[in-house]
Amino acid sequence: MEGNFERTLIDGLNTWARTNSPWAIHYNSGSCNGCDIEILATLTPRYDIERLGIKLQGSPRHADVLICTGPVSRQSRDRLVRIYEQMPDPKFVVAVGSCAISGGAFRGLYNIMGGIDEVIPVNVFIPGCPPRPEAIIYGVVQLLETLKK
Amino acid sequence: MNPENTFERATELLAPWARWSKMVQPNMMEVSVSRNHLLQCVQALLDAGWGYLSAITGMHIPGVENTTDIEKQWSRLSQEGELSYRPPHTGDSFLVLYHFCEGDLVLNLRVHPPSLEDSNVPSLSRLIPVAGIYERELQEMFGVVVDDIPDGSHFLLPEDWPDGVYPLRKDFKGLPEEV
Amino acid sequence: MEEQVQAKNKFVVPIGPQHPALKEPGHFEFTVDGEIVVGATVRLGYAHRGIEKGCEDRNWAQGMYLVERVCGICSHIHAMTFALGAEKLANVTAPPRAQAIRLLVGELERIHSHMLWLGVQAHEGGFDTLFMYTWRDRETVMDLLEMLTGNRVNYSANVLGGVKCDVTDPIASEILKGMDFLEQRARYYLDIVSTDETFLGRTRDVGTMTKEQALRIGAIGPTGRASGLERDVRLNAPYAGYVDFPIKVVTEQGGDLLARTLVRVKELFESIRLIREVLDKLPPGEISVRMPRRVPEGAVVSRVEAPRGEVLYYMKSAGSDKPERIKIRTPSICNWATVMATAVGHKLADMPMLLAGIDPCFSCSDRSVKIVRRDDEQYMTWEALRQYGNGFYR
Repeated sequence: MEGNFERTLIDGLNTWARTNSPWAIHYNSGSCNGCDIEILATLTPRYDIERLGIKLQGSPRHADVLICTGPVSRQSRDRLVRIYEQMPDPKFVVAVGSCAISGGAFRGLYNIMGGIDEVIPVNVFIPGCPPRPEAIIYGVVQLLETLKK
Repeated sequence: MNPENTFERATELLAPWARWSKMVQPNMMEVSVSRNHLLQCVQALLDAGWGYLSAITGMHIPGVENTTDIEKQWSRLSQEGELSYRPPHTGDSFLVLYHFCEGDLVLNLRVHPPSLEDSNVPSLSRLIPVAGIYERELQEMFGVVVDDIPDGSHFLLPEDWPDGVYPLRKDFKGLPEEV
Repeated sequence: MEEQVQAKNKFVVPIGPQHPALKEPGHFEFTVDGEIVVGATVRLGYAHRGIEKGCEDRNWAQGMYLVERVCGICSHIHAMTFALGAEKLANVTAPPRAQAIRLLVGELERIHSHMLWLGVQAHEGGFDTLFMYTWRDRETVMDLLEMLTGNRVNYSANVLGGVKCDVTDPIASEILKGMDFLEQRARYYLDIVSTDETFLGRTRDVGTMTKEQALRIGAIGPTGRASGLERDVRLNAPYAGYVDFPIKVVTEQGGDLLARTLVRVKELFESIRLIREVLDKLPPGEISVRMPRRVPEGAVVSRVEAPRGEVLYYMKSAGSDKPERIKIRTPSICNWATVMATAVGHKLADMPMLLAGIDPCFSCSDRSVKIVRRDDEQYMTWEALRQYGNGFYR
C-alpha cells in the first residue's frame, strides 16, 4: 500500500508542477504569420503570459505544450510530426487560429493537408483569424484547467 | 530613377530585336522578342541602365480545339501583330513575361515558346543574379525549361512532390488522392 | 545529408525549420570554417500554400481576402495591391477619401511592422529589453488599427472600389494622440540604436553591402535604401493617397546592419508625419464606389511599397468574374539574395541578426522560393566528423 501512496504523491506533485509552469514550444507549419505575431505579443509586457508560469522554449525536448499555427503544408508535415515525437510524454497540443483548425482560408489549396488535427492529436483549439492574445491566453488556461482534473 | 528613361528610349534600345510592341496600360508596354534574342535585349537594357528586373511571370495558355476557336485565336493574334512570325497555336503553350520597372513605367519583355514540349528559355541569372530565383519558380510551377540555370533543383514544392506535375498549369486540378 | 567526401575542416550547420531564434519556418545551412561562414544556402517552402493557384479558383472579391493572408504582417499591403490592380482593370477609381484611408492604414501598418522588426532584431542581438520595450509600445499602434478597422492583424480595410472603414473625429484624435506617444518613443529608439555600444558592436560593419552590390543583386525596400539606393514605389510610382501626400525617402549610406536599422527607425518619423498630414487634410466624400462583378479583359501590373520593399502583382483578367492569372512577387524574395551574398566572411553568431536584418517574411517568400548557392565546399556528415574527431584526438 505504501508504494501506492508514494505514486499518488508523485503524480500530484507532477500535475502541480506541470500546471504551474508549462513550457511551450511554437511551430509554424504554414501560417501567414498573423497568429505567430499574436503569440509573440502574448509574451510581451501588455499580455505577459509568463506571469502564468508559461515559458516559450526553444527545444521540443524540453516542452510540455506544442503551440501550432497555420494549416499543415505538405513540406512541413513531417517536421511537425517529428517535433511532436521528440516531445517527452505527457504532451499537449494547442492549435491556434482558424487555419490550424480546418485549413481556414487556405483549405483546398494544393499544398495544404488541412488542419493540425489531421496530423497530430490536438487538445485545445483556439479560433480566430488571428485569435486575439486574450483568446490565446484563455485557451492555454483552459488546457491547464483540464490538466488539473 | 532616371527621367530620360522613357518608353521611347526603351523602344530604341530594343529596336534590333523587337517583333512588335504595344501599350497594355498607359504605364505598361509589352515588347515581344524571340527567346534567342532575350539575352541581348536584357544586356541592352542593363547597359543603358533602363530599370531593373522586378519579376518574371509565367502563364499557361490553353490551346484551342475546334476550327471556330482557331479562327478566334487567329483574329486575336493578328490584332496583336503576332501572326507575322508564326502560325496560330492550336496546342497549349507558355508565355513568359519579364517585368522591368523604371519609375512608374513597366516594360514587359514577352517571350512565347511555341509549345509545351519546346518551351526552353535562356537563363538570365548570369546577367542578373536574382533572376535565378524567379526562373526556378517558373520551372517548378509550369515546367518551362530554363537553359543554363545554375541550380534547377526542387525549391518550393515539397520533396515528395510527384515529377511532371506542375501546379500552375491550367489543367492542374489538385493532386491525386494517394499522395 | 548524403554521404560526401571529407577533406577540409568545413562543417555544415543546419538551422531550422524549428529553431529558437527564428519564429518562422525556414531551413538554412551554413557552411563554416571554424567560426567563419564560407557558404550559405536556404531552403524554404515550409509555408508554401499555393495562393496563386487558389486565386484562379476564386472570384475577384474572394481573391482579395485570400491574398490578404499571404502575410499577416503586411496584410493591408497585399489587399491594397490587389484592389488597386483590379480597380485599374475595371476602370474604377476609388474616391479620394478611400485612397487617403488606404494610405493611413498602410502607414500605421508600416509603423507596426517596423517596430516589430526592431524588437526582433534586438532580440536576435540579445538585447531583450529593447525587444520588450518596442513590443509594448507597438500595442499602441495595434490598438489604433483595431479601433479603425476592427481587427488587430488581418484588417480587411479594403473592398474592391474603396475601403469599408471611415475615419471619424474621435478616431482621428485618438490616432493623433497615439502618434505623439510613438514619436517620443521613436526618438528614444533612435537614440538607443545609434549610441548603445553593445548594439553598435553587433550591427556596425556587419553584412555591409555597397550601392553597386545592392544594385546588382537587386535589393529593394529598406535593405536597398540602407545602401543608398533611392528605390521606393511610394515616390517613384505613387499610388493610392501617395499622389496627394508625397513622402520623403529615407536613405542611409552605410549599407550595414546599423544603416538598415537607422533607415527603419527614421521611416517611423516619416510615417508619423504623413499620418498627421493625412488626418489634417482628409478629403471629404464617399469611401467606396460600386465595382462590377466581372472585370474586363486586360492585364495590369500593380506595385505597392510594403514595409519590406516593393510588392508586385501581375494581374490578368479574361473578362470573367475570376482572375485568369495572379502573379505575386513579394519583397523578401529579392532580399534573400542579399543575405546569401553578405553572409560569407562573418561569424556564425552574426547569422541570426543578418537574417533578421532584411526583415524576412517567410510566409511571403514561401509562396515561391529557395536560393541555393552551391560552391564546391565539401560536406562532412556527422558520422564522418565523429570519426575525424576520434582520429584527431587519439
